[in-house]
Amino acid sequence: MQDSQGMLWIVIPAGQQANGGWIDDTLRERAREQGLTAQAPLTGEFPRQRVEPVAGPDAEARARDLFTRRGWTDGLPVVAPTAARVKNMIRFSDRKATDVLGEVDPLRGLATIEKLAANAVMAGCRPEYFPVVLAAVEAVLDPAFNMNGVQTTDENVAPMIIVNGPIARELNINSSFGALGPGWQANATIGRALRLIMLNLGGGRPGTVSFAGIGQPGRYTLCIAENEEMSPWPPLHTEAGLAAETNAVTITRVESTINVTGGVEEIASVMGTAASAFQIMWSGRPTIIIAPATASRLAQQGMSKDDVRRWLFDNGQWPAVQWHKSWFKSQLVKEGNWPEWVERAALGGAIPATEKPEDIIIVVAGGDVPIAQQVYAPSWGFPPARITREISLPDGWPELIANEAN
Amino acid sequence: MLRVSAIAESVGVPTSSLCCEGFLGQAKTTSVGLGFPNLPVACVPGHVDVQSEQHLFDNVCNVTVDQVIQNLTGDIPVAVQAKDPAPDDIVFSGSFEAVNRLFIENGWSDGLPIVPPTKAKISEFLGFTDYDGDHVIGRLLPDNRLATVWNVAVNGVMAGCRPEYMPILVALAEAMADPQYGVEHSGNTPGAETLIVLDGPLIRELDFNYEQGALRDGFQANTSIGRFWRLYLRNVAGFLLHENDKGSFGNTWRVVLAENEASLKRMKWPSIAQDAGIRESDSAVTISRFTGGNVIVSVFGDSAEKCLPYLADALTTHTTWELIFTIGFAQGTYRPLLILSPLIAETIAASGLSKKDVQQWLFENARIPAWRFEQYMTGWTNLVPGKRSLNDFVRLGKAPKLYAGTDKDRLVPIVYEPEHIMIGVSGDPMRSNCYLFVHNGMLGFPTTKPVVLPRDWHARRRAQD
Repeated sequence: MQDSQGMLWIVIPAGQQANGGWIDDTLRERAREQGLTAQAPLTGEFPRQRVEPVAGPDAEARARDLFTRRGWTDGLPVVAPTAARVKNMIRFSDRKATDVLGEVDPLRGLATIEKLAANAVMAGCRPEYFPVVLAAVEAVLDPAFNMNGVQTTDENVAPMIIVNGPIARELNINSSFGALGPGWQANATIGRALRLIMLNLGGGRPGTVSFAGIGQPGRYTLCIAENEEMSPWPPLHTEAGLAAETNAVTITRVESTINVTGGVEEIASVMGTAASAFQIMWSGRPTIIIAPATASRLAQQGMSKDDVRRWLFDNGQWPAVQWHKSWFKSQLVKEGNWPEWVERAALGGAIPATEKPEDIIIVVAGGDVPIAQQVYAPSWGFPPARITREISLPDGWPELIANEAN
Repeated sequence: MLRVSAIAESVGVPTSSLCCEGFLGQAKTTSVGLGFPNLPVACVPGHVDVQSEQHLFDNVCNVTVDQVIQNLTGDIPVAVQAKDPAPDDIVFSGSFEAVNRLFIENGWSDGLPIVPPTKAKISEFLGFTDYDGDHVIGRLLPDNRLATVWNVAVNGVMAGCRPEYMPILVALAEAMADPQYGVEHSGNTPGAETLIVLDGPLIRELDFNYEQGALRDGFQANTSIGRFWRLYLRNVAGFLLHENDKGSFGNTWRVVLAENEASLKRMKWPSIAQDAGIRESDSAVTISRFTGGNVIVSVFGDSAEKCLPYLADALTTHTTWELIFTIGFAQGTYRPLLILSPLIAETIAASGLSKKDVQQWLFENARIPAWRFEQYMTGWTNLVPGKRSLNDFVRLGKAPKLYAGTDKDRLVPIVYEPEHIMIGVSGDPMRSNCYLFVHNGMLGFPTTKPVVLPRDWHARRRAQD
């Protein structure tokens, strides 16, 4: 990637605001105020331009080191976003480098296609993943996602990317054994690209702007495909009105991914606990990943996805007595400050994990194992979110893919 | 529109600027230079020009109104301004190719190789002005960056200018910064391009072409100074395509047009600079933005009487929507420029006509029917909303009485005053072709600046040999 003179030409991945300012100036100030400069000592120290030349016998290593010290990473090494790599990434979209998808809260770096591509390169994305990254970015820029809240809250929420449609197989996005990781390049890097975008364009740097109390490993990457082949039900994106054969990304907000070995009974049991407290407070929408074996057993019993939702809604309720005893209820949010539906349900003795059965998001994924594992991923915050975006592929996609494979 | 919002915000009135979808990026970059980095903008989907009333109504109700409410009542994010490197910081060391890649990758070049602006080259340029490098010439929108003698020199080096062009480059930056010119309009959609007209002794002294091929590249002085103009607009004013330069087509920068001083002298006609009050012994630049024009080929005739009708016809045929700069959009700011070849100019002069006489004749004869004028304002375009007629504008006191009347076929002039038709002399002295430039009105108004030479100009020039 170095040119004939050993120079590496890298696209600056940092967020520039509509006014021309760079978010790193704010990050440096915040870090200074909070005594957090050691973690990224060179924050804000870079030429304020589009492309920076990096020289030296091992320019790639130097760029990697610079990026780490400028605070442009998630802590793992990144791939240097050279002008050529970024350009190639953009070729796999139907957008121009200067197109702007929006501003990434809270520091409002412009999500230009070029900046997004630079961060996708850094994350290790293959160029053909870029349309998925862009759809995910479009989804998180939807005001319903509340990027400002997600980035700055003291909760540990992370966006979960769920991919549907034929592209999941084409890109080898894991929907089966170990879909939540590790080992698959697509899952690992698409989710990571979104995180780097939130860090470098939005400025969601932990401790300085992002105040998540403990964070979660899902903040490195959280991306799966739905196991459409093994699901007995219509795929997730059809619930948003898209045809089954379209490609789509659905974004949900998850506080954690809780493993639940067993069946729907066990899921309901976990739902009806303090694990759902924050979600109940904000009428949020949890994501439930159901194992293929469990899904097919339920379908054989004649249950549709809506029936499962209803069953979980009815059976996964937090006993009001537990709610009353909880620190959350007794110390933090007193009676009268909970949603009306919560307080009404409490009078009846138990609080559903969601306001309505439709709020439960069901995805089928995982390997075909007899002792099945489900995932309960409680949600966070306001407003209730579940956002689906169609993935837009550029003209000539089959040729692009074929050439890249060679 | 954003400029009006900035004024309103500056006196504490919340604003929401309506902006067609394709211009949001421009709005955001433009607002920076207005000192309000986050002027609230509300999106009107698509472009209003091609929407039915119902479609527009739906778009405004479904999208725009909510954003307007948010803009007027919501919080505006705090802005953090970026720092530019200090003017004399060395930002890069490398080969010619590497320097050029850096400049092209970062949008600092027009796409052609630049001459690397090294400190040594810059100081050579600074040697041809009495100003210090940090002398501030003015402040340029949209980026609101300072025009300094230093950054004039930098862009002059990059453009391939010679150091002795520096006094002309400084005069050009002064003209660009003059509010009369209106540099902030340089990114508007008609994409008019500036023409620099040079008058005075420097034409000969610095080897400008002023004869055959006067508007073509090929002479270092004409070409590199024309290129400087565009680089300066890009790098200091901050006009960038696909961002805040929205010229629909635009065109390449024009080379400097130098007048034929000898021909002017023979006819005792003033130059364009002298028309603007510059002394004959001084050199001066005149900048003005022109949307287009045409060559007037083979003017045939041995007298003014025979030559002038063809020139008047060119003025009326090629002036179309630009009439809104005479009446409607702006009042009396249309300044077409007619370049006569010395051959034709001197044929006309031989009939006893002064430049003023020619302007008077053209003013009286280059006229069009009122209906055609109105067609450009309110018929084929919507550039002058309100569907007012020329007569309405007279009644409103926004047009001279000359335009009054109700007969749609009455002939009206294309400019307010005879001297609004600018006339220059240049081009092949042995050919009977002329050239008409059609003007962009107040959005690039003619602005003349004298070229100030350093005290020891001649000594410095001799030292170069």
